Parts: sequence; C-alpha cells; structure tokens
Amino acid sequence: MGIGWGGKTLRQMLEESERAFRETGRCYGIERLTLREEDPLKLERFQWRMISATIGARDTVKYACASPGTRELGELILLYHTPEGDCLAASQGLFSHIHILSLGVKELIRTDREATTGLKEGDIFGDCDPPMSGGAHPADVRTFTPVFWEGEVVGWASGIAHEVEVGGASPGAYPFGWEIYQDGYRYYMRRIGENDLLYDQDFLKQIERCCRMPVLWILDEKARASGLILIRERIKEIIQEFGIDYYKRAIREIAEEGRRAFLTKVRERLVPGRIRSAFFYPVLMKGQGNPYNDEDSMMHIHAELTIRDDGKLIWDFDGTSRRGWHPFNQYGGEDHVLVGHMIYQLMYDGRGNAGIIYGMEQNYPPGSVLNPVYPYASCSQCWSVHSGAGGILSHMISLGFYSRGYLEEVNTLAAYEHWSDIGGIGGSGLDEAPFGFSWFEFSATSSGASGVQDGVLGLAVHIPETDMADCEVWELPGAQAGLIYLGRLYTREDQGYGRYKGCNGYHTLVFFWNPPKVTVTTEPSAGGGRPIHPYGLYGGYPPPGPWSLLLKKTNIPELIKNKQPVPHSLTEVLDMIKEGRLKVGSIELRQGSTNSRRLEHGDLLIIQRAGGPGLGDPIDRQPEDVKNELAQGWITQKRAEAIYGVVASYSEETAEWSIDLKATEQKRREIREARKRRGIPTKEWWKKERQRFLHKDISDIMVKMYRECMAFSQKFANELIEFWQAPNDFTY
Amino acid sequence: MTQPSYSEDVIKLMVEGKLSPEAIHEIITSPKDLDRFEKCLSVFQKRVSWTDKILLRIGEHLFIVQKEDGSRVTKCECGMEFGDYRVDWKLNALIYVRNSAELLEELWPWPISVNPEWSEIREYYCPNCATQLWVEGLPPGYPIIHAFLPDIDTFYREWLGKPLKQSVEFIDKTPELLHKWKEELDDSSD
Repeated sequence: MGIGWGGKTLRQMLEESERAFRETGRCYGIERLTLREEDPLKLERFQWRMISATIGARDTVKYACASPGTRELGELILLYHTPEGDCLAASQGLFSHIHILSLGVKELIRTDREATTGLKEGDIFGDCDPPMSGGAHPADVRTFTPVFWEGEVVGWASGIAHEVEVGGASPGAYPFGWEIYQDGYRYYMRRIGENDLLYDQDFLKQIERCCRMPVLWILDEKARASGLILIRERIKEIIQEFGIDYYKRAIREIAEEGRRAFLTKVRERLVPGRIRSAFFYPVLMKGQGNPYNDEDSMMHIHAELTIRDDGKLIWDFDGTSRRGWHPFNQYGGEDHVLVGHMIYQLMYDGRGNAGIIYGMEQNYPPGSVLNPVYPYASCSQCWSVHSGAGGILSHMISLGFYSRGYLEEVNTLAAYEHWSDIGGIGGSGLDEAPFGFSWFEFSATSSGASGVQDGVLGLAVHIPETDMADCEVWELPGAQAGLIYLGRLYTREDQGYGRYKGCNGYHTLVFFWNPPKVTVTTEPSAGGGRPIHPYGLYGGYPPPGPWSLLLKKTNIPELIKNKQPVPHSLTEVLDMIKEGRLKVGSIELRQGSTNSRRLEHGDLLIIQRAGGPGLGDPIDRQPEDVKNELAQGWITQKRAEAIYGVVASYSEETAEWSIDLKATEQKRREIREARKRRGIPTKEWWKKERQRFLHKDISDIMVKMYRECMAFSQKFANELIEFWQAPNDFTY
Repeated sequence: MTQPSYSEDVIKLMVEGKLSPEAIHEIITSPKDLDRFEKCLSVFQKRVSWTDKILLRIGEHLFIVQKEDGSRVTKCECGMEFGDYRVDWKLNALIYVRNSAELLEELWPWPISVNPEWSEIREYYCPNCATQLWVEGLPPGYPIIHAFLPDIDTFYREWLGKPLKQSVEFIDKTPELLHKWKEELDDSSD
C-alpha cells in the first residue's frame, strides 16, 4: 500500500505521469481544463493562494539567513510541487532553479524511500550532488519535504539557496578543480531531519566540519527548512478551504494550463523557423596545477532552435564540446537557464511553473559538456558557461520578437547573470580562522539594447527583485581578507555599440591591506576573458567579454600613508601608471577562470563585467544620445567620431559637449564610403578564408576546438565541411 | 483588462525611436497588442520607396519581400536585393573583418579589447548603401552563422490565419550557393 493516491506508490504516480505525457503530449493527459471552464475565478484564487504561500514563506525566512548571498542578493527560492515533482508554484528569488528543484523531487521519488526507510510528514531531505540529481553545482543546495493529507502525499515543498562557501578545493562557491572531488561537500538525497527538526549531530555538525564558513550554510539550511514547513501548513489550509477533490484536479490542470499558456505565448510573440547561434568559453588550464589537463582550449556551445508550428521549442545542442577535466561541465544541460529565460522573456506573469519545460524539447549530446553522463566530472563553475550561454538564448528568442514587431521585448544579453567574477576569496583569516566566500558584490548584468532603447545597468535576470549594490555588507566577510573597496564604475567604451547601445560594462576595484593567508580564485562569468560574445543585433556590435586585472604589490599603501590620491577606476589606474604615480610589481590580465592565487599587501584587483550587445548600425544613433554618452564619460571623443560618426567638441568654459550636426552628417557619409572601400564581397572573403581553414592557418587553440568538435559531432563536422566545401572526409 | 491596440502613428514613433520612456514602459507593462505585426508591416511598407510586398522584417533596414513573380527575396530598404531569402543574405553582402589587435583596438582599447586569436569581428555591409546590417564576433575559421531562417508559410497560414497565395519549400538554400562557389573555384583552377 503506497503513500501516493489510491494506494499507489509515489514511483508509480511519477511513472504514470511521464507515460501520460509521452502518449498524449499533455501534462497528466489532461484534455479539458474543466475547472477553468466552470469557475475561472475560483481557480485563479486557488493558484494565487499557492503562489502566495511560497512567496510569503520565502520573504519571511530570508531574514533568518546570515549569508549576504541569500539575504541581500536573495539567491533563495521556495517551491511547491505536485506529488510527482512538477512545479506548481514558485516564490520570487532564484527562479532559474525551478527546474533543478523539480528534478530533485523526482530523483528523491526514484530513491523509493517509502519502500526502504519510509517517508512521513516532518521528514526533511537535502541534496547537493548534481551529477546524480539534476542540480547544477554543489553550491546549489536543495531541501525537500513531503506534504501529506489524510495519509497520502499530496505534494512537496522544496527550496534552494546558493551557498557562498562549499568546502571545495578553493574557497567560495566556485572551487577551481577538474573532478567532482574538488567541488565541495556533497550529499545525495539524504534525510537531514525529521519531525520538522534538522538533525544536529548527524547533519548540522557535519556542515560545521565541511566548509570554511559553516554559519552561512547552517542558517540558510534552517531558513530553507522553516520555509518549507510554512508552505506545508499553508497548503493544508488551502486544501481545507477548497476541498481535497478540487485540489487534486486543480493541481493537474494548472500544470497543463501552464504548458498551453507557454505554447500560446510562443505563437503570439515569435515567428516559427530555425534559429542558430554559438557560444565560446576559454578553458585555460595550462600552468594551473591540473594534473589531467595542462592545456588551454576553447569550449564550444552550439545551439539550434526550431520553433515549431504548434509553438513547441526544440533545442538542439549537437556540436557542443565534449566534457573535460575542468570545472565547467554542466549536468542537466542548459535546462536551468532555458526555464529561467523563458520565464524572463515569455512567462513573466508570476506563474512560472512546470508547463514551461513541457513546452520544450532539448537534445544534449551524451558525453558533451552539457550532458557529461560520467558522474564524477567537476561542475563547480558550470554557471560561468550557463550564464554566457544563457545570453545567446535571449538573443535567439529576441530574433522572433523583433520580426514579430514586439521591439520592446528584444533584449540581447551578454550574460544571463554576472557576479563578481571572484570565484572565491578565502583562506586562513584573523586568528587563523578559516573563512571563504564567493563575492557576489554586484551580481547584475549590463543588458543589451532592446529594439526601442539602450541597455540598462543592474539587470538581474536570475533574481529580478534583488538588492544588488550593497558594498558594505560584503566588506564584513571581506574584512578577514583585508579587502577594501576603492571604487565601482562604468567601464568607458566597454559596450556593444549600435543605434541602441548595450549598457556599458562596469568594474570594481578592491585593494588588499595585509591579507593573512588569503587566496583569490577568479571565474569570469559569461564567457570569461576575451573571446567576444558572438551577438550584437542588426548591425550592432557585441560587447567584449569580462576579465580581471591583478596588479601585484602596488604602492597604494605608501600613497595612503603619504595622503596622496589613490585610484578609484580603471581609467585612473591606467593614467596613474602612465604618469608614474602608481607603481606596480606586475600586472596579470586574467582572461579565464584561474586557480587560487595568494594575495599580498598592496595587491589591487580590478574585476570587469561585460557590457551589453548593441542593436542597429551605430551611425543610425541619435547624435544627442552620443552627446549624453560623452557627458557621462562612457565613450571618448575619438571613438564617438570613429564609430558613431558624431563630431563633438568640449567647452572647458561651460563644461559641456556640443555636437556639430553638419559635420556629423558629413562624417557619416565618409564612414559609408570607407565601408564600401574596405568591404569585399563575402564570396572573395570565403575563397581566401577557405584556404586558411583547410590548411589550418589559424591559432592552435582554434585548431584544437575544431578537431575535437568534428570528432565528437558528425553534425558539426558536416556543418564545417559544408560551409567551407571541404572534402567529405576532411578532418583536423 | 481588454487587449490593447496601438495606432499606426504610435507604432511609427516606436520604429523611429521617438516614443518617450514613459510610453515605452506603458507598452511593456500592458498585455500585448495582438495586431502589432500587421500594423508594423503597414508602417514599414509606407517607409520604403519600392512596392514589393513586405512579408517579414529581419533587420533594421532588411526585409523579406514578395516579388511580382511570387519569389521571395531579402531586400534592403535602399532597394538592394540579396536573392532568395532562404540563402543567408550575408553571403551576398560586403564583409570587413577585424582580426588583428590593431583593428580590434579601433573598437575597444586595452585591456577591454578582444584577443584576435580567439575572436574576429565580421562586419556586413549593404553593397549599395553601405549600412552596417550585421556584426558577428566569431573565432577564426568559424562558419558564418545563418542566424534566422523563418518558416514564412507556416507563420502566415497557421499563426496569422492568412495563408499566402503561393508557398515555397521551407529549406535552407545556403549550401547550394556555397557549392556553386566551390564549382567556380574548381572551374577556375582547371
């Protein structure tokens, strides 16, 4: 006798639901939305009561957390699921993790607890083992509890929070490693409490031993568990009010309605057809102490989207690189960002639920970096790649919005999200106390242009309502590292130029004063380093990628001692170096993820996040808008003229810029003439480039990428052979 | 809340970039006007100097149009035609490639700039009016990405409920053009 409905086991219920979808193409095989037809307002009330339960719980327990990642950033989300694990309602917060939690519930059901150790109300389960249970990386720690009604499991409450320190090989949430054993403390679908209490000795004490700042994880866990109990009790009130029969039917219809709503939105706002894009991420392992991989390589994410006539989105990632001995492997493919993006771009009415994933199909080639299969691959820095790959997903969907006429919905992103690009800071702090954290000091994106306006700063797709800019709270744990903020500013000319420009990227300067034994690991989000993002739109430029500069042993301590000015921006750093006022031991440009480096007194770290992509020909930009950019210091006069064709001058007297419109018109004509002179027919370019490609006359890192991807993916090999008209048996 | 519908004047202001931020915000936060596509087509049709029927806009100055003989071509606002829309129009454009540190630093200064061993910037211009129609940032040797191949007949028939009189096969014809280029190379080397 199972604890599912009508005596079934939960596994039976899960298998039935999966079969129903396979056979009918509808969630739970639901054909008619009878409750919506009979009394739409009642169903509306029911659904929003569930959503409110999750929102209320999450917004309450958030303040029990010590971690600024959870409290200020809000990287916490609580969900409610069907008994089979499909998401019904989600709080605000980290909504890209809706799917991760659903996968977790389903995996928990598959471990068949009711047959082995039993499953009862008050049981609390936890998981942070992504290869086994559909997570992304171990830092995404999940908690689950069943909801019973009259002896049957009627649903699950779940929660996830991003822990900022996970006890990995290097401090923070993104340890640098090459196999799962460096990724941090992991447990797989483990009972971590019962009777609404977390185990003390058997769980909380273990957390104290496993990571560098256990108080952050422990309080997050207590917050998650408390939140789930709050949700459970609210659900019981809802069932009491609406009746169990209504509840059971309603949760099925809500899932199916979500699927239909998703397909409807696609047909309403996009255009059917085929869309292609690609993303590249530098995997720089040379000299980083990785015994299995001492080479630099370039990861390739190949994306093709078919928007079908019924509105279903078919994603194919065949052509993507093989998994490797590096921390960027991604279990679950791009599902996490796919669901997040679909909520962000299409399903933003607050009801984001399981319907979205049922409106899509995804192909992640087994053995690829998006579907490692091998359960021991490192995935601690998967979000670096997810983030940038998520950007191309937004770009691909935006092509549909644009052609459909919904220009305001176009939103190209360089990154689904940014964070500090500090994978982690930590080590042995004051009094040799271990500490470590990932520094989410400004986890927001410079968005790209839309079809009607420039990109904006501070877009946090993954947590729309976050409080991102709180420097002071991050100086609290940072104090142990001797971390001192010197500035945070837009980066001049780091943008995708266009008729509408992407918002400038921005950078943060931090200085280290007598750090004890402290290391820093950088992990540039969203592409990392200096491969360009592939996408501006319609003549707009892509933005350069993120990077960081580590200036070792500067003379900033002496400048402070002598009451001299210190730099507060990248521009000031570069000017002061040129003028000889800022002395530096060495400068390291870090273009990709790097292993721990010891920090020393006087070190200066500049972390740069990418700007946003542009849209449209830059010489179509309104001159007044360029004038504003000049006034804000976002662009130099030289590039305003060279790229935008805007001729401007500055008056010291009035401290204002002015535009010479006639000269601007003339300059723009000259730019067009110059384009005609320097541009060659694509056919001529193709002929020459073909020779380069066939004779491998390109950089070694690219030769390696093509070789590996052609060997791994016949589809990509065919694409290359077809484009370059190479012999059918051509290989690298 | 009823479904909104905006006048062609408003759509025209949007296309021209003259709507206020407040008006844009109002549009973004309202339910979608379901007649946007038709209104946009009408606005674009009135802007262009030629009479071919616009089927779909695929760029700031780029359209898929239907010719009198029923064929469908990609066409620039200036009148330049790029051939069958099922062939990636970029293959019939002008291209300029920034693949050196010097050329890339014309766009972005160090240390912001891009590593030319990893990426090159490909600018595509209309051969007639020299508008910059598209920019790709891709590794050296990477194929030109045929970004968007719309299924126009399905769109009109199934989604808009207004089937076009003549339909064409939904197929990517870019490989045919590439094959033709290869044959020309072979012929010229004979």
